[in-house]
Order: sequence, then structure tokens, then C-alpha cells
Amino acid sequence: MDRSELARLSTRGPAAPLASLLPSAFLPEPAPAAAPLTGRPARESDGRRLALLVPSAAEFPRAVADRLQVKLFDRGVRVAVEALPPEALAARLASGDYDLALVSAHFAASSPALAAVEAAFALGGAASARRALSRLGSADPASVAAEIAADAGAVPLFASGLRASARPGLAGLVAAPDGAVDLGDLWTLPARGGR
Amino acid sequence: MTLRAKLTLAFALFAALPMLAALWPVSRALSRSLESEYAARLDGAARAVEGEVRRLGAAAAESARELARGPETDALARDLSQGALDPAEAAGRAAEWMAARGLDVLALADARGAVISSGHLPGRAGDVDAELYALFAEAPPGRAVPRIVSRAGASGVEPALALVAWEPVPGAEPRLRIAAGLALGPGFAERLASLTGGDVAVLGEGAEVPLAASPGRDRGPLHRLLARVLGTPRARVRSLPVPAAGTPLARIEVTLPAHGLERTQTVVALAFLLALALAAAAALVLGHLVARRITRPLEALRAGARQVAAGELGAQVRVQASGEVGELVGAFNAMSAGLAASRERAQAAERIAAWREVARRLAHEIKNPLTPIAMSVETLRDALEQRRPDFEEIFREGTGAIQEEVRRLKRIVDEFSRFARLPSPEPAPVPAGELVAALLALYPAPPPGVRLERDVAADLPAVSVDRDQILQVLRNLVVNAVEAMPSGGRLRVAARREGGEVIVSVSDTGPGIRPEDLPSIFEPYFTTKEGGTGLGLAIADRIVREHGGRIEAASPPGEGATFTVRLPAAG
Repeated sequence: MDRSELARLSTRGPAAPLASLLPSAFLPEPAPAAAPLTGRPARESDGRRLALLVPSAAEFPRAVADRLQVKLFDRGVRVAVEALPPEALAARLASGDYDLALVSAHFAASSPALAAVEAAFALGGAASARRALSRLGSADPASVAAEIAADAGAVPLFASGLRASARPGLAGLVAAPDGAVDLGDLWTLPARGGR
Repeated sequence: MTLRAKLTLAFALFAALPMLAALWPVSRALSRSLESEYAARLDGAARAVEGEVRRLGAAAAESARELARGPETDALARDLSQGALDPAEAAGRAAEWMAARGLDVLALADARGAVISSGHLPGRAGDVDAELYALFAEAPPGRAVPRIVSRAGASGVEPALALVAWEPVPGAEPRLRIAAGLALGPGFAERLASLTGGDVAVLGEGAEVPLAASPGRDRGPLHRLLARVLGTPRARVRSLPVPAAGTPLARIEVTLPAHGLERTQTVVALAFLLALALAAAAALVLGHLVARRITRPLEALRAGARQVAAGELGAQVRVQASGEVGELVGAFNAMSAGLAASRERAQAAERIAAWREVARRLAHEIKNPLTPIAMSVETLRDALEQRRPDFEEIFREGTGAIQEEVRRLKRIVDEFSRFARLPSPEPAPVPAGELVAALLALYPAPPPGVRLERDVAADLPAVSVDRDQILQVLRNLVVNAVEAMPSGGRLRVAARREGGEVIVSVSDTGPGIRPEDLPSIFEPYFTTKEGGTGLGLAIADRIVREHGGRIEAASPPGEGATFTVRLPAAG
């Protein structure tokens, strides 16, 4: 799966594919290009269809889920996208009752170690974060992040920067080179049938 | 089977056969009529489906045309040409437009089929959609065509049959195309089902499981299994290929339940069968009455014939009959009356002849002793008149002769009297072996020169006889045998069981019986013996017959005579 394309088609704003759970800005040296995901895809003939859990509040995870659904369909895997409120999604993740799930980790940290802890918290909760903290004493953050991903069975997809979202029908939303938006440029679409 | 039963059955069949003959053509005609009405309903349903398909196609084409020329598409094309719209932003537009217009399929793509935005399969944005590419290549713009479209649904990506039309977006650079469509899905099937009153299913070509179906159409895998095993109620299905011309992509099946048709046919068949049963029952009753009326004289005639056969020659049939049967009854009565009169005449003649014979025999038998009596009396009278000195001697001789002849006369009279007054037998079970033993006990020492042989089986059953009468018969046979051998011979008494009879035979080695005499030896007054009355064997024959048995005589030349008495075993 082309994670660059996935990031480009699913998010509005800057985005970059991830080779590790940590964004490349936190890595001491440039990360290698994300390797293609390989393995035998699960198929309906295996006895069940897969369910992909996504948070219903956010918009872009749904776009990612739609894209994953189509790509897996092209490979013979039927995936049903199930949008859940954040609380229900967290409960399903905690119970392990899911096939696939899209999980976003928000990095507010300024150091790789804290970013690794945030990633561990997002994937496995407080217990996972505590384990990550204990490991950071003897290992570098990139290694800890790789172990966290392996423990959780997580596949890093992409990282996107902060952005503003406009409601449908709002046009003229163009970011300046510094990322700011001039609200005076915004305009709304006329009613249906007019110009 | 009696004639009455046959006639009754024939009446019932004559009533039932026309009904049966009528049932088939009437039922068939009714079925055809109902079938044609049903076919008309099915045609109407098929036309409704075709009209709905046309309407949806036109709506899809109109939507594509409106969107291609709409301001939102124009703005999107302009942003795309200026690079002012990032792909993720563009990808979500089609879903918004599709929802706003109630469409099931909507995609915005470039001329190569690369999807910019897809409402029915949002994740396809950025890829070349083979389905869209084929649509652009094969279908002219502005005209809806049926296509199998992959749609994102609750269960994942699923195929759906949709009427899809595409339109180029005028003035867009790069060139853009909009495809819009309406699915022939569950809503379509349900709407048409309520419109036609039947079930509607959309099936892919060659597929068993429908792409979409009205709720009543697809009752799940369990229902399909039961229907396969038990059979489904007969229903007519009209299958409409989609598209109507060219290579079929899918088919729409309209099914109208045939319960009403089947119920009507069943009611008609049951009504006919009920009428048939009633007609047969009525015919049975009527036939029975008529048959009884017809056969009553015949049954009376049969009873009369049995009476005649049983010896009641004057039996008369008292029954009302007309026509040939009446004549037959009259003829029968005349015949039986004639038979009775003839028998009376014959009996009277027989009685007269018998009396004559008795008189002749009596005269003959009495005449013989009378002559010596008369001669003795005359001799005595002459001797008395002549005062002969030897009168005493003559008197003794004469009276002795008279006494002898009188005894002979008395014996003759006694024989006749016994024959006339033979009492009825009083049967009682008697072991046959004991009977033969009692017979042989009478001859502990056979007459001189006669050798007695016994051959008596051990397992002889009892016979129901009057012991004294049967012993008299057997003794008579033994006496006859001994008398037939004055110079000695062999007397053989044998007894054995044969079937349900006990057979006692008495054989001698005397001169035997002449063949011409054999048929007459049991007739009264027939005798070949000097001084015999001819009543002994006649009495024996009568006694044995009155016991339900028979007596036979055989006399092979040179082998003496054998008399065989056959008596039925008791029980």
C-alpha cells in the first residue's frame, strides 16, 4: 500500500508517510522509506469478513478507512467500516474485540522519548505508557517505539500536521505559505440551481 | 357376486363415468381461463417493472446532465484546473452531491476514468476505476445504461445493479466527466413489489442469490433450503433481462403468488369430486332399489328351484313380476305343479304295482304250502272214510306235513311283516372294532369245512349306528356266505378304515353271483336260493342306507362273492 498516496488523498494539509511510530522530526537520522506492507491478506473464505473500526467524530479517519476498504477489496478482502463514538471505540480497543482499527496519536511532545510515551498511550493506554517509560531508561526512543508497534500489532500509516477544516460548501479556503488563512477570502456556494 | 350387487355397481358406474368424463375438460377449461388471467396480471407487473426501469434511467440521465452543468461542478473544475483544491478536499464532494440529489451512484472522473471524487465508493478516489472507464468507453453520454457497480455499503464493498448515465463537464480542463446513477436495489424491489402485489428480485446473470429483493422475495437460506426440500407453492415468474437487448447483465424476476389460482382450482376439483361422490352415492341407493325390484322375482325363482331340487316338487313362487320375468315365474309354477302331479301319479302307480307284486309273491309263496296241506287233508279224509287200519300212521304223517307247511306259511308271513314294519334306527357311537368282534363272537366255531379268516385293522374309529340293526345286516351276510359254501370253503371277514368311512367286507369262495343277477340282488323278493324270500339283502340294503352308508356286492368269476358295507365314521 502506498502510504504517501494514502496521506495525500485522505488528509487536507501537510502529511508524510510513517516508517515508525515516531514522526521523522523526532528521529535522530532520516528514517528509511516506508517498506511496502506484505503478507497474506485475510479473505472472506477464511470464515468471516473483517470490520474496520474508526472514530465517528473525526472526518479524515473515515476517508482513510474508505481508502483501505477499497484497496483491500481489490485484493479480495471484504471489509466493513464501522464508525464508533470515541468512548465505544476505546472500549472495543481495550477489550480487543476488533479486526482492524484506525487509531490517531496526537504528539504534543517536544522530545522523542515523550513522543514514544504518547504513542504507547494512544495504542495501549496507561499500562502501555508505563511500560514505555520503564523501557526508555535502557533503550532509545526509536527502539521503544518499534517495540510498542510490534506489541500492539500496529502499522504506522502517516503523520499529518495541524490544519483547519471548513464545513462543506465553504469555498476560498486557501492556506498562506505560513499556514495561516485569510478569513476574508472565504465565500459560500450559492443555493442549488443558481450560480 | 350376486346379480343385485352387479346391477347396483353398474348403476353407480353409469352415474359416475359421465361425471368423471366431464371433470377433466371442465377443470382444464377453467384452469386455462385462470391461467390466462394470471398471465395477464403477470404481463401488467412486467410492464410496471419496465416502466419503472425506464423512469429511473431517465432520472439518472437527467441528474448527470444537471450536475455536469451545475455551478458546484463548474467551481470544482475551476479549482482543479488552478490546483487550488487538494485531492482530499475534492474526494469528499461527490458524496455530498449524491446525498443531496438522492442518487445511488455518483463519481467525478477524468477522461481516463481516474476518479477525482466518488460518492458510492469514496475510497476509489485517486485510482482509475475500471467500471467507470468501461462506462465511458461503451455507453454514449446522456443515456442511462444498466451496469454492475461496486458500492461501499454497511457490509463492505458490494456489487449493485444501477442505471448509470454519464455526461462530460463542459469547458473543464482537464476534461472531466460525471457519472450518476440510481440503483435497482432493495428500495426499487420493494417499491415495485407493493406496486405489482408480487415479489421482485434483482439477480446477477447466472446468480442464485439476489442482488436485491423485496422483503417477501428472499426469505433467507433456511427458507430456500425448505423450499428446495419440500417444494414451493406453485408461482409464476416473469424474468426480464437487463438490459432488454444485448448481452444480459442481470435479470429482474417478478413473481406473482399463485395461491389464489391454486385455491380456485382446488375448490373446483373438490366440488367436482363431491358432486361425483354424491352422484355415485345416489346412484348406488337408486341402483340398489331398482336392482332389488328386478332381482326379487329371480331370487324367488332361485329359491323355488332349490325347493324343487330338494324334493318339494310342488313349490310355487309367489312374487309379482311382469314381462318376460313374469312369464318365467308362471312357467316355473306350472312346471313345478306338473312335476308334483306327475310324482303323485307315479307314486300311485308304484303303490299299485307294489301291491300287485306283493299279492303275486304272497299268492306264490302261500300257494306252494297250500297244495301239500290240501293233499294231506284229502288223504286223511280218504283214509278215514275207508277206515284204513293204518289210519293212525297216515294221520300222523298228514298232520305232520300240514304242521310243517303251516310253519312255513308263518315264516313267510313273519318275513313280510318284518320288511313292512322295519323300525327306524336309533344310532349311537359304537367302536367299529367292537361291532366286528361281536359279529365274529357269534361264530366261535365255524361250520364244518369252512375256514374263517379275520383281517381287522387296529385303529378303527367309532361309527354312529343302531348296533342291533347293523349286526343283523352283517350276520345276514355271514349266513349267506356260509350257505353259499355247503361243501366248505373260506369265509373272510375284514374291516378297515378308508377316508371318513369304515369298510366291513364279507367274502366267500362259493359259486358267486351271476353277472346278470348282480344289479338285482338288493331288490325285494329277488332270490336265487331255494325257499328264499328275497327280502334278506333288501332289508340289509335298506338298513345300511338309513345309516348313511351303502352296501355293494362284487363277484369276480371263479372267486366267490364279496359284500362290502361302508359306514360313515362317527364325529
